[in-house]
Amino acid sequence: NKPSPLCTLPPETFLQICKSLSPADLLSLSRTCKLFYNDLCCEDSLTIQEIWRQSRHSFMPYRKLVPPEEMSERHSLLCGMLGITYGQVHICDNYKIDSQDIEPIILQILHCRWDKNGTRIYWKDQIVEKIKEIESLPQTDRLEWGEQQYTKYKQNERELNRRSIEDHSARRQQRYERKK
Amino acid sequence: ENETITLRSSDGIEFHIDARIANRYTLLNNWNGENASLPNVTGKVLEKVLEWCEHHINDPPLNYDNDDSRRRNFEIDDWDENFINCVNQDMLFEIILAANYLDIKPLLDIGCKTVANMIKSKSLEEIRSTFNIVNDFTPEEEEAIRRENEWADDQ
Repeated sequence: NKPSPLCTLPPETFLQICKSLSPADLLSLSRTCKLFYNDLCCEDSLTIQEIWRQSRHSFMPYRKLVPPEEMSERHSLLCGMLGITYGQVHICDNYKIDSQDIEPIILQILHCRWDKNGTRIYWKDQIVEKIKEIESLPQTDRLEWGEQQYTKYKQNERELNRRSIEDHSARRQQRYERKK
Repeated sequence: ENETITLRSSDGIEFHIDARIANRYTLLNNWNGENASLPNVTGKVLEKVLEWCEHHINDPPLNYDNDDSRRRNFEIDDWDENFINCVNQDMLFEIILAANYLDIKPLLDIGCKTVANMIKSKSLEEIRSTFNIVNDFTPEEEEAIRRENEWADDQ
């Protein structure tokens, strides 16, 4: 059982292949094995961000807006592909959490989505991060921190909304042109 | 009569090629000589690479420096398509590695584009089976990634 030749290519050659792929293809490829997941979902690598950005340029030319602040190309695409406005996506090992253990403000400043039963679903990494942030502050500063975070969250949500409107109208336009 | 040079593959097979080929792809020039042999390229692969080079010997020289977008969106012509479709997957990857190693950019582009076309519009499972990729995620990791992609999957 020899390793797949695709997995043993030099990194620059692998990246060159990725440059011809659409965002949806990149998502599929990233899910095939750990190696590609770690490569393509690396949020810190400028090269990787550039590949997602170029892919968006070539395959979603109607999408002119860049991702909202602090959101990677991939995350913004994951949200944008469906036109859903709920924000960042993170892998988590504990998908649902008990909201009683958490400062209420934290749940107001993070993006979530609603499942079929009406439960709000958050991403654990994000919650843990915010808990750390708030706990490092003295009590007196927490209110102000919460307000700042809330403003930022609202702004982010507006940005994501604008993108989903852009995507929706582009798709409507495509359908219209196909009918013609 | 054109000048020829001699290249020797890693397994010792000699190829006598038109010197104009080596002039186009400067790295080939390094391996011209009595005792030099290309360390990473076997005779079988070198034969295919040289077949490609010979066909393209009269192509206009390409300026690759600032043209990344054109490189990405170019179309593979009929001869190249036939050439690359006639090799099996192992050979395709060998050609890509050799083109990378020998810095034959247009051939590398064709190889990469071909692999990209093999990935395009395929499902996760189809990509795995096409390239014999082993799924090494734990069930928990896989579930987490599935959730992460849930929205994209619904589409």
